[in-house]
Amino acid sequence: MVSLAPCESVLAGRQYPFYKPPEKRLSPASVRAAAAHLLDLLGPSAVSASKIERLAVSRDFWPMGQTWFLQGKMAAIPDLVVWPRTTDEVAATLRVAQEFDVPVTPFGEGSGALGGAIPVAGGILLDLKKMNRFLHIDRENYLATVEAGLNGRIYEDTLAAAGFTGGHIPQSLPCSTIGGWLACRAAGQFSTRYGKIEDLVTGITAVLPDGRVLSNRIAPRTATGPQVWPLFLGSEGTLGVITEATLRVFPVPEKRVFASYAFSSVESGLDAIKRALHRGARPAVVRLYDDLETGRHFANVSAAEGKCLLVLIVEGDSRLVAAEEEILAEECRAAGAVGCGSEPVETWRRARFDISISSQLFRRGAIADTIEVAGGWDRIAAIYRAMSQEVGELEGTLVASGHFSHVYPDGACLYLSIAGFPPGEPAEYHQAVWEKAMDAVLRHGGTISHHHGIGFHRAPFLARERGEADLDALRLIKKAWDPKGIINPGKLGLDERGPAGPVGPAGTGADGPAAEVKSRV
Amino acid sequence: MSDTPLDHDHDLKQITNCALCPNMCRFACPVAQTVRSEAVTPSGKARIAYLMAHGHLGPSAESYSYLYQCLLCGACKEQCPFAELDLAEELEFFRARATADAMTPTAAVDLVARLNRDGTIFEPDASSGLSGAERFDVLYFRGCATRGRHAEIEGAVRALLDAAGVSWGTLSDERCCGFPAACFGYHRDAGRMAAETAAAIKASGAKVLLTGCPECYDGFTRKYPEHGLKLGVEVRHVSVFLLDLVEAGRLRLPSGSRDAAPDSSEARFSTPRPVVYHDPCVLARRAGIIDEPRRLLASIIDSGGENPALEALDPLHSGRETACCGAGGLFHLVRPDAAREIAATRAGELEKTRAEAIVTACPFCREWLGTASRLPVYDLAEFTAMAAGIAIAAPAPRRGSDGHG
Repeated sequence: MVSLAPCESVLAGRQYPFYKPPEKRLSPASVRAAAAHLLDLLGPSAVSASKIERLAVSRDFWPMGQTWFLQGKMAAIPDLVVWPRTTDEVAATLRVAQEFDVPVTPFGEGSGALGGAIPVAGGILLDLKKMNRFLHIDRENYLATVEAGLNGRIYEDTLAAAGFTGGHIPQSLPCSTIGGWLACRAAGQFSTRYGKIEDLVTGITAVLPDGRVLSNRIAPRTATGPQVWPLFLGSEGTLGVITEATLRVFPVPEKRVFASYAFSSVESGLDAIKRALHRGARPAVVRLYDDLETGRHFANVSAAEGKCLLVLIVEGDSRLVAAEEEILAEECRAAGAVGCGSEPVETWRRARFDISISSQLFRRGAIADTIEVAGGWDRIAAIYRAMSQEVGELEGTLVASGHFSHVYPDGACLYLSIAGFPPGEPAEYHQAVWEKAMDAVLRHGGTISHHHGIGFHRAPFLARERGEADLDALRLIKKAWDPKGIINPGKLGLDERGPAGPVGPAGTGADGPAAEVKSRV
Repeated sequence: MSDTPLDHDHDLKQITNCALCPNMCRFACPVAQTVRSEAVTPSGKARIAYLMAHGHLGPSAESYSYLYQCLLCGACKEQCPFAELDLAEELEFFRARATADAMTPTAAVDLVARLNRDGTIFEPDASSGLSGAERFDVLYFRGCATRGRHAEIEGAVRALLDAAGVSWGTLSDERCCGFPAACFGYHRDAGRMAAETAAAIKASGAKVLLTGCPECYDGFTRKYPEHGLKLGVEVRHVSVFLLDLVEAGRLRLPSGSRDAAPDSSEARFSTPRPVVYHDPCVLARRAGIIDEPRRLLASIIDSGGENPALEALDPLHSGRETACCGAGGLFHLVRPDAAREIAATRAGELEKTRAEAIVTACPFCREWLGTASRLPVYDLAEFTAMAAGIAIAAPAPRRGSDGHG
């Protein structure tokens, strides 16, 4: 039987201080009452206590979740799955949750890597996928308005048919939602030109924990006091539920150029990129691979053997492209890099959505993970050296390699990929990797997350980066908006609520209080 | 484990690969995009199967029911980096286990019972032993859907074969190829039907086996050989066979003027235009037949005999990226509501082109798009006959049907 047992002991271990063994378990009566109200308000097709539906939705891409799943264990299971179809239905659901003190975990398509969508406190899993309409393309202002449950690839395909691109192409494009992008402060592979999600979004509609609906006037910029809606960007579902968004879109570029250069070291590659950015170039795709990843992904590029390959895509109006291409070529050649042509870029493009290695590694009992951080030009190379070396030296690690894939005038993102066979307990090895990596980036003054966010897994490290006044201010907002701690408890380290999910004796985890409401749906 | 004759030691590696993936293919899965719950996404179904296979989730009608929420259309495989992963085949294996556990959905149980009794999934056809000599070169295998519900397709194929002077015939007692039983996990029944059909085909003495049904075609070309059934004939899909006839000059496809007066000779064989071609999922992805139907449509020339008369448009999701009509894998038996929605979505994509008619090459697609779309829907054979002015009386496209038997 699918069970919860070992996850509790891990979740209750020292690395997850925000998981508290429940003082008060979510009562079956509360769940029954909430379910009855939701059935009345939303109808039977929008509410389910089916064991299969609840199991199916208890997942994201968190490595521990993957490892436990293979053993038939789930980190958590909700009591109900609810599929709202409108903002009003989301509001109604949150009001019912408040009334009966039932936690709510918002869920898009579950591609997050940090357990942020796992319903660790049980209760309602709010699946936004039925809010997936593409509402409007504004061809005058180059804006698109969509519902939050829309799939990223479908968003991009719909725009393409109309002659646009969203400019936001994360590796998770095919399996993530607009709402997820916003809630997690996402970044896509073309972000150096088009911006991150916070640069792309001009407004949202969101439902606050008490059921009130918040939205802003869409304008290119405003000075109407401190804005509240941007708090939702990166809130990871802890401050309410995003239901709609308006995003900037761009014409399909007139011209697109592929180029690649092999550098003798990451340092010389980073320096060339910095200079190009300082001169004003904004190539869409900038990916500098260390020697390990160059060897792994570009083994057939002989000129890059033993070197660090830089993959570039420059796109836009043909005159802008020509200028940017020239700036990049000058800086790369000045750094002594060897041009490797467009073929490596084609190689990257063909394989960029292929994450099959992850399944293969987990299936063989390995842990595979990625850790993305960021820092200024003055320190990002040192961050890379420290993180890759210290994680690489851990017993069990097969590989700790990196690439830099989002760049700015003032720095870059480092994306570390790790794979290892745990010498002992998988959770212990996984935690050791993270402690080494986070310690290295914090020591060097970088930020602990560039775009994957905090979720459940990275929450314990947040206080080492964000000061007390800063985090207290955030906790005050959370407390004011969500005094009962209903919305996505246990995430971002913002609250004290422990899980009160459907736990029973080990072996009956999926048949808790929810079983009693099953006959009603 | 089921002890059906087609059982084998099942390697769970591929279902595990799928279960661990965050559903990178979900945008292409019509069931995931219509039903919109995690449980029916490709990886969601794989996870249920994985948990059942390892005994973490007990077999139950409820858990098995999710493994039937699949069109078997291969859209996921088209996106998948695991070359050996075929979720449709994995699910067929688990459906066989459901059969052994007597937990097959009722609709499928009833279907297979009917199949065993009548040799067809639809009403038994009244006609048998159609025209054709005792011995013939080309055996036209119609398939249940054409035999039972699409006389216009059968009529068109017969008329075209006659017009081209092909020596053809049919089986006097044609029975199901076995696909419906296989897809629902009744491998023993499927094996028996396949063996009987294979024997009848061989006994006919024909050199060519012709069919217009992509599922029958896939069965004859892929599944039968995989299970050791050798037919000893060349298997052709109608679209490819007709194209060959046209290119060999044995079938002429002039098309009259669209503006012809209604009672003029030209009006006799005018066709709506432009048309949009819908690739049937199995034909495009399993059989790889994508160009031939388009080339056949392109060979419809004007009445002067010179210029291509017909513009055949491609919709969003063409060729190998085609979107299922909703009837794939007889999914409509398990989830008729979702199947109708899938059909409506696909009809919408086809209608977004400026086509005045939809042409396809599968009786199931013809039926389901015919019901869902405001445009007339034709099978390729039907449309070709219309263009060639060959009288099957170009019957009105069937609409408003209830979906199937």
